Amino acid sequence: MACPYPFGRLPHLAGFAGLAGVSIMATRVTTVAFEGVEARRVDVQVQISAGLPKLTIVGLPDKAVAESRERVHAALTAIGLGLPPRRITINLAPADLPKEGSHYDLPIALCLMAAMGAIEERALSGYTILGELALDGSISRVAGVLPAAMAANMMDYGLICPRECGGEAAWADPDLDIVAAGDLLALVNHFKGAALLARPRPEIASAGGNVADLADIRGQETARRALEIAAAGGHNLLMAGPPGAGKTMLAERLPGILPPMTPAELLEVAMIRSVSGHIDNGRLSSARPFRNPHHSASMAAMVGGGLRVRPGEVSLAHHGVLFLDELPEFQPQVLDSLRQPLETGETVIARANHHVRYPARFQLVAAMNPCRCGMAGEPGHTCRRGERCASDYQARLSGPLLDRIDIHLDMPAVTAADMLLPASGDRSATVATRVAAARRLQRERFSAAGLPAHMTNAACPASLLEQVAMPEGEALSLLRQAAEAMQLSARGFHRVLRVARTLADLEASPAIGRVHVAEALSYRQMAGRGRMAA
Amino acid sequence: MTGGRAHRQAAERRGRRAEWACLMLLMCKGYRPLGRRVRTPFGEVDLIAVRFGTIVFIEVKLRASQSAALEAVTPRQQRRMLDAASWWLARRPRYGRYNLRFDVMAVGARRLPLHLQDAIRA
Repeated sequence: MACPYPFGRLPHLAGFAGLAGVSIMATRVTTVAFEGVEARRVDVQVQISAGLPKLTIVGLPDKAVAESRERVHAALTAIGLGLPPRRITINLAPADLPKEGSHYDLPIALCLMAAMGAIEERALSGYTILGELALDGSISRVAGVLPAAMAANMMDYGLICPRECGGEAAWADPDLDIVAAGDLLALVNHFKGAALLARPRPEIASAGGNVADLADIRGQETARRALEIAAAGGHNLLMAGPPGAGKTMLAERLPGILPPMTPAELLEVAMIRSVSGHIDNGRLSSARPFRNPHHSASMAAMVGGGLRVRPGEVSLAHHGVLFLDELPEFQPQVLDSLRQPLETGETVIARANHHVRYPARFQLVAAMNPCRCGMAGEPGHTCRRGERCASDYQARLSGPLLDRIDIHLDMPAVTAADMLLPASGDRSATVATRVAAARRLQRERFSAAGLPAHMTNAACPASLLEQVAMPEGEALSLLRQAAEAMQLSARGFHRVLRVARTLADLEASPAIGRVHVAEALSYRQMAGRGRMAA
Repeated sequence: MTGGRAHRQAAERRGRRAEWACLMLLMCKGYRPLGRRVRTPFGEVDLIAVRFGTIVFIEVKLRASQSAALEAVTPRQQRRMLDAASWWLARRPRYGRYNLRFDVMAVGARRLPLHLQDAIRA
């Protein structure tokens, strides 16, 4: 098996003209390269010809791909297949597309084995292959199996992937032919028919069990109400308050009251997680993403980018929550880079050699102190630097960013008296049912208008908003007065309407009343104040 | 160790004997010798032999132990062997379609030479 030409023949003695048993034809198998969450087809071609023994990989490989040469050599030796002492050329086509990552090991190894006659080339022809090889011939997990499985399904191909990623691939389509092998020998036996590998099943990771409950929070009734509204309408939320008021605690409890993801959402989230290598044991998680990057985050970490144009925090928070603690401590450029994804729900990363689009429809929850020393506005406290303390600190946030936040919330410090009271508020489960009911109303409304099912009040287009959320009578006149007094921008005006719509949805009321507008306006007050300070 | 003339000559003799021993071993294994101490502009190839359509270029190393002999094959020497092989093949067109292999034979004291197949690749 190790030797591709039959040992018995002695071409040297028999007037050696050609290489018996080995064709000079190239062998080819199919794999993929990733562009954002899209997988593009890549052909691996192997040619073995006479010449100095040498293994070369061409086709714009990056460092990880070029090093796969050593891994493939070691893995083939480990299963008892020596590379023939001949000139071996491996081409990754199309040649102008940069190839990155370690998932080319397996297609290269299988293509070599097919060229050496250890596996039938025909057996591999209907498959898209990806996987990383260890030196002992075992196949390790790689990122991006789910998008690769989707692409394979589109091309009507099967998929060969690492065993750990099988469950992930099985999500792409119930009819997709998947071979998830733990090592090279298992693959060889599968294709010989000696030991067939079972198709993996799609699996869901069990929810993290210990989700923090909203009932743990004492006092802060207003804030709890605001959190519920934010969850119900998918609104962005900014909490400002002194240290220890419970801003972080509150934000951590938001995923617990959000409705579970729909299958379509789950798949979108899983694609991004898969590309960035965040799926463990091939199980998709049904928990909504909750990302809380540290405030030292760079722009590439936030919106995506870097050498390999990876998804950033905004994309990892797709259909979930992006929580920015200590908002003014973030670099201003980083914060302002959030403006476009907040509006469009996606990021487009353009680099010299890449142009990649990642979805980024996330809910922004931010927390901040009112000033540098943290206590501005508290009764009986004066900042050392006086008025400037708060105004300088808040000026770090740009007006356009604040304008995109629907709910601005002042959180006072919790008094000792509050802490001594027994826990009084609703549990997360109770709030979650109310949120789910409000979301259901929204879904019915937006599906009727032909919009996607995951649309929320916060994301709904302005034209539709004016049809479904325009108040009447008293409420309208209140809104008109307030808009003039508060100098609302056009976007600010719409944001008030959105919040008012959500408030009405929470009460299952079809029309928007005066109370709803009034409450929505109250969440807008601080935005006006912030802009004046700026 | 001083590099006296007598000393050098003794080393030369031991080297020749090691090459001869390796050649005997190879012939026992069915290799047909094509050349011995082949001089090229890039350096000398110790042994060239052929078996089953594969031409084998062999570097013989003699040291006190086999492991010391294996360590003595430097990257520069490997490069030199590949160049020398190309030069040698270029003037022998009839060997053009043969497989090529580069082996190292390590000779230590009181042991059969260790034949390491396919030890060098470009």
